[in-house]
Amino acid sequence: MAYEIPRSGYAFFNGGARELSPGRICPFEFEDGLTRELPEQALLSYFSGSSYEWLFLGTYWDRLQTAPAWEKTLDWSPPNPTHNWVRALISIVHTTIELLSVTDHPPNISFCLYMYYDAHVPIMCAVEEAKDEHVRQMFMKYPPKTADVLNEGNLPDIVNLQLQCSFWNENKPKMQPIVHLMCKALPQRCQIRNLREIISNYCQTDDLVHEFMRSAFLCSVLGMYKHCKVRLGWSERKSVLRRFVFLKPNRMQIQEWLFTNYQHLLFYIIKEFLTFSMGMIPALYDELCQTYKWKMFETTVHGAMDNIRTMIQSNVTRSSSIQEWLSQIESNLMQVNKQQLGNLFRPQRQTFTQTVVSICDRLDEVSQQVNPNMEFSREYKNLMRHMAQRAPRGVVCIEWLKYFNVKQSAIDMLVNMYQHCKQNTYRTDLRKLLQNSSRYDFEAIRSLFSAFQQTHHDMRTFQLPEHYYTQQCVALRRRYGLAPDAVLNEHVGQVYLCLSCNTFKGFIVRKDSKTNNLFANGHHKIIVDDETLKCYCGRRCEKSDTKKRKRIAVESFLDGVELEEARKRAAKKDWKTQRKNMQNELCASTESIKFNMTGCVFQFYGSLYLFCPSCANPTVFNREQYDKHGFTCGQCLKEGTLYTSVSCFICDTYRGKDSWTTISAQPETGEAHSVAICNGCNKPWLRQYEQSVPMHILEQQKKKVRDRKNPKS
Amino acid sequence: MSSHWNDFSLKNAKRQKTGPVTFSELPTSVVISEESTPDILVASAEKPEQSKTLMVAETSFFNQRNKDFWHRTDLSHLRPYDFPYVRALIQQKPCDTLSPEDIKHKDHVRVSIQVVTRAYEEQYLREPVGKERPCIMGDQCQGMHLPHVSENAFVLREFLLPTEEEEYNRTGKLPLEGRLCLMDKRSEIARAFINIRADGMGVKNNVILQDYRNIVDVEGEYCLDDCLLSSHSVFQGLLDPVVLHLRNAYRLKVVNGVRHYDQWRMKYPGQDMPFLTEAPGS
Repeated sequence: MAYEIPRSGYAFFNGGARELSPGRICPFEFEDGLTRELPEQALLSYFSGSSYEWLFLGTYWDRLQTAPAWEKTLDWSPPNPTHNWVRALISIVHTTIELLSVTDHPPNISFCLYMYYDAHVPIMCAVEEAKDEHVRQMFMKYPPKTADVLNEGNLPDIVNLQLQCSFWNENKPKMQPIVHLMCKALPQRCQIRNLREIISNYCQTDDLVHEFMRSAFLCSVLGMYKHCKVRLGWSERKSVLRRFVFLKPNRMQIQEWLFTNYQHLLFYIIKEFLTFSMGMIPALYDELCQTYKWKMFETTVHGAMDNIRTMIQSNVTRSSSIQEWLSQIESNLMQVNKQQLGNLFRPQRQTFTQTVVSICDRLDEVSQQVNPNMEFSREYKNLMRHMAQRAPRGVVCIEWLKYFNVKQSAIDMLVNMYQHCKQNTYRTDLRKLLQNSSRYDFEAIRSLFSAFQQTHHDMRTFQLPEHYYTQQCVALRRRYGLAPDAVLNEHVGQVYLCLSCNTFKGFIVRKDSKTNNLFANGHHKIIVDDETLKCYCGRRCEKSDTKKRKRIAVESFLDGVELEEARKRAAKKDWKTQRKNMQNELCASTESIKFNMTGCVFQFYGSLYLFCPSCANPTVFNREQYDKHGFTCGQCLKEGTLYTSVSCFICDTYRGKDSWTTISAQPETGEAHSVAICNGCNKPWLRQYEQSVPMHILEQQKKKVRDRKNPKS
Repeated sequence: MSSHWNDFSLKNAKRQKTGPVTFSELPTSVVISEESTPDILVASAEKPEQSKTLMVAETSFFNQRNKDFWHRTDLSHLRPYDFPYVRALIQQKPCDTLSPEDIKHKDHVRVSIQVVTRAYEEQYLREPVGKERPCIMGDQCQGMHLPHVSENAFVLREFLLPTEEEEYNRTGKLPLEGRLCLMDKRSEIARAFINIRADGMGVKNNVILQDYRNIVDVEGEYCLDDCLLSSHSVFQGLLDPVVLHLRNAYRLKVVNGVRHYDQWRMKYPGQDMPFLTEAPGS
């Protein structure tokens, strides 16, 4: 009987499709019907030749016929022991219990024995409740099936989602709920905050989270991970399985019983799952062992959960309510959790460089400084950038500040903070240092760290592999109208970027963009100096407040604190506007950087830019844009055909994606074939054709359009 | 009246009285204070003229060196361009990946990444037969460490790229150095990728981690969800998908007496249609 995992069997239409059926980590029975070695097979080979061999020999139905009568004391006595099958079941169950009580089995055999026992729990529960006349039906309804018993291999397969967790210093704003939950259970600081609410909300709204939490809860409580040293006894297992599985509690009940409380228990249940599942990705596991003290984490979690299972074991013996089963567990785990504070990984979402730059920006905002470079000249700023391009990557050369006449004491303090930033907190000291520095020093420090951040992290180029380069060259020749064997001149593939506002100046084509830049050429928002022919950034920030608001003299209605607040807000708004104007001026006076992007991927402020290998438009690298055609911009191809090469049959215009349809055209002889018609030419009379449109009609229309365009011809 | 210096006649050759001579250039005994002594004496005017910037820089620099010890740290009057260190630094070539303006496209030998199909890979998920060599990792091969395959675990055969296999088929010669098996290769690529992610900086130099790539979203190939690819914000060295090695993704099967691993967990594209399953009897 499938007491845990519903399976549809072989049906053409799967009735359970609307239910959630995530894959399992490593099931005994695979989706294609093949099985790996089942627990009873492993047990049979181990107990072969012993007096217990009969327990695993043949099928369940065979055993019901051949089981010897149990003659020792009865630990489990169902209400109807006269039935032959019930007697056989008593014998099977008691023999299994006897085997479970032996402690010197190999770990795998012991694990298999528990699975074997658990498979019989539903029929045990059913027999306990059944009347004499229904016993036979119960045996039919609940046949034990070890492949479906809940164990580590039967947990929902979320292993490859683990890679999406933010393990180190990554900021990932959008996460799937299940990934977020796994992130919360990583041994990092401040993870338990709001966990109760988060689990409760996710379990209500997300099916996968609910399914995962329910399975992981049972797996942990019963001790069905291979690493468990303590597992619940037979009687307690029966009670737990009866309550949570056999009686089929609905989602609301489970939510009420488990997921609205017990934050620490759920926290540790997810942790225990992670200790099991991380090992499935050896590359990730090895890195975690190095960066996270993962082995110590495993030992602590396993120890704590074994302890919890011991507590549950005694609680279940004493009481029948779920609340009692889980009593005192929270306080126990809270203690364990507190002891682990020193061993937790401390992610640093910002590097030292990023912190310096952000604190500087914040200080400027507080002091409402309009011009970010009042005293430190732009010439020096450029020099810093050129110097940073020559320094080996990885270390910020803070001592360079002495060449820019920054106070030696400030340099020494910065060097000290930088050297110990991984061990010490430094933000307060850094803020004080920057606040007390002269404006020149402040700007010099910010410029140095910005230069390193920009050059070594935000802006880098990488060579593309050969196949990308070859495809790009072909596509660029097509885009620039060159012969297939023509040499690519310098201007082919040149792009611009502004280092003042940090924008890329190409017309980006991406899969999810609303605007269609497929046919755009040239550069986006660039000003050209007529005399020098140098290019400057033409980007203009809009005013911050674009909403139309009623112009009311607010201040006349306010007083006291509110008036103060309103004035502050107004001042900040003014400052922002002035700052944007200043930024506009800076952009207009900063010469754009020009370079050739052919054959390279350009990393620039959180995006990877490259030419689309099929249409040669600038695009961004994104896994969403990877499909059967390889990597493309996601806009230029349909069924392997370039949109840029498709023109309307009637008006001969090239329009691009989503602006044309294909219709079937029937020539006078031969088979019908499809032609592209743009939306402008796709008139209602053309749409009325239910079958193929005669080709001569289309030709007539084509001629009409051509005549209209060139009446003299 | 003056005459040319070369006009000379014996008639006029007569000794004439000249005027008194004063030796104004002779040293005089004047007391000179230490302050008025110049630091550097200009030897001659014929020396090639230095650029004004350089002259100012060097003079300021040497003057600074000649100052008292306790005044030497004050560099307020110097421009950064005047420091020899800074000058030397900006004269050297910038790093390739840090300077987009200085990329040279034609000089680079680009990495060749070979395409490998799923069917091709599956030929390599078995134990070696005949002349084939086992994975270079030996007992540490991932094939020996799958958690749900205990007794019959085996070391996989080494994984050859299509060009290497072609060479082997043509000449019968295997590469001199042993290769990793497919599982180990996948695992090592993932290890490097994850290490780069943990580092948080992207790839260090011009590195591409893969020398082969898988095909995705094509019938009979892999799904993108089962593969690794660089992040959209930082280049992590993987531009084409490579299947991620998971220990729970394989199951054992024996074909003609040879042990194989079957990639049961790697779904085929388009396989996720929950409302349709196999027809009865299929």
